[in-house]
Amino acid sequence: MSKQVSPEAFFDSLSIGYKLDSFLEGFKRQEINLFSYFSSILYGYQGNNVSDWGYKYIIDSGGYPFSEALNEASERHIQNGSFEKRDKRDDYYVVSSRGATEYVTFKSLESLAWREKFIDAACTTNILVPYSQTLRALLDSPDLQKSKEIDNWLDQSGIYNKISQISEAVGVPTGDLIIPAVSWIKYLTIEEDAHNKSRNT
Amino acid sequence: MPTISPEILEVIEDIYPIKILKAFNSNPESLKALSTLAKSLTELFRYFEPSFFRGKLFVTKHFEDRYIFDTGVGRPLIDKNVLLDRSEGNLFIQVFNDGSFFMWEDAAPEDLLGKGSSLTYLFEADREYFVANEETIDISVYPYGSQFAPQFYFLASAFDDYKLRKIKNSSCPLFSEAWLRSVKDAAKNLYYDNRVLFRGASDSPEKPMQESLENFLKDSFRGIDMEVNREFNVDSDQPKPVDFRVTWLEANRMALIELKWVGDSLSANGNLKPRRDARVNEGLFQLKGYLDSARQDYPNKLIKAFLLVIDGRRRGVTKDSVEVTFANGFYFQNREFEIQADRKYFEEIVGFEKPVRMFAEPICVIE
Repeated sequence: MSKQVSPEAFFDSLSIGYKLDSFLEGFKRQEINLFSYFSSILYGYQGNNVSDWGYKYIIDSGGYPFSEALNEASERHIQNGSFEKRDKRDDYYVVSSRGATEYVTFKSLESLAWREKFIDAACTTNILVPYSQTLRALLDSPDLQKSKEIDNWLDQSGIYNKISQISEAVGVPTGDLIIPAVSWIKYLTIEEDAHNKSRNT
Repeated sequence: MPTISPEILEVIEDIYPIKILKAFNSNPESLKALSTLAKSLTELFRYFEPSFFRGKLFVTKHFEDRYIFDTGVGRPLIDKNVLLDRSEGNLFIQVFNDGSFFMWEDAAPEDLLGKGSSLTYLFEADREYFVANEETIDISVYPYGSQFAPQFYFLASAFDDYKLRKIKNSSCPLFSEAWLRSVKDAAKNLYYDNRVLFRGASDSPEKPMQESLENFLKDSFRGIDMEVNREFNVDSDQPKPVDFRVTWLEANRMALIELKWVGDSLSANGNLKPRRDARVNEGLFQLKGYLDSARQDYPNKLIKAFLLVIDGRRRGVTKDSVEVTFANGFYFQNREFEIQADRKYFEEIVGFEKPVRMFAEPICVIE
């Protein structure tokens, strides 16, 4: 009997894969983890307890967040034919029509639908901000950099306060996640540019 | 927890989603409209290449999904293939929450832009804007095309990068195999490595050049499907396929890339073969044929054609040249090709790009 996959991770990986495929021409499995992690940050920013997100992350050897639950779920999508490799020679996957149908079905389940707004905001950032900028900002962020030094679960709690400060300053409407998401990416980019500049002088 | 400085907040407030929000006096509907518009643009641009378009494109999201113009003079946009050949005029498209589209071709922009409950994206003359409550916000990031469909721009930028990082100093190990390395001292296993002549038949330089470009493109792009022509029978009269056909499946785009080289090659039997501007003109003619065929074979794809020319021309070389002076080695560095008037397709054909010349520098000696 095969192992039970976490429903949250099953849905999140499918939803993120579907969105990244539409916006970016396919996706790598690490990117599923990265945008899930970003979604969980937005979940915590809205005052939720991140331990209720459903699964946790460590950092992998490439500097990406990694969740075993998401990894198992992605494996299952590959086995089921929901994720297909576009080309044997590279690491990019696409969501098959079977996967797209499955996504639409799961999206309507009340127990999972609430997750969609966090995932949607995290992934929409890729359209509103050039993808390379989003990727660099998230991977080079201080919280991930710090985590490379300690072998433990990733802790997102230090981030919420900063996103809240920015949101308050720019006047984010209640419930909106788009502005917090894109302004957080912008903030990380500014900080990293300043850091690189000071390192080079 | 340290507070974020006012200077940083000022920069953050300059990002366009926040400008849009402020233009609409913090109405949250403006952000929902932005999100819908951004996703709709990526969908529309699967059928519409902004850099091909010389008119004005307006894409609007009304906050309450009310029609922005009289529906009697517009039509639902169901088959988006009708956008494929649009290259001029005014085009107005409204997007709706349910993912549907409605299109008008003959409407007054001033009527649209004055409406306070709608957010409009405008593309005009390779610039892009959001018009939010009568405030025009320039969001242009790239010199042409749109940030919502940057595939062709990224490809052209990749060629610039390839020219600088791989070809200029023959830094790509695959490409460096294209140069002839004559024996300097057989006993010591030493070779001249001054990038003066290319290898010639039967050991042609095309193969390492193609492998180099293929390798670079694969590393630079995500999700592309690349077909590479492996036929190196360049002297054959038989027609051959284009060197590279790059397809973006999701974005519905295709790039045809023909790779040529100019310079002098030395064959194994000692024949020096110069290739100059005629080779470039021939390449343009060939590429025109490939583009015509591709447009017939793939009528629903947005296609661009690129001729890349690796320029290894040196002045005054002979078959015995193993070194070159600065004056001769760099003589062609800034000399453009002479293109025949009847081969300047890039001036007439939408999607046919100017040749990209990549000068490969020699290692020179002082006279």
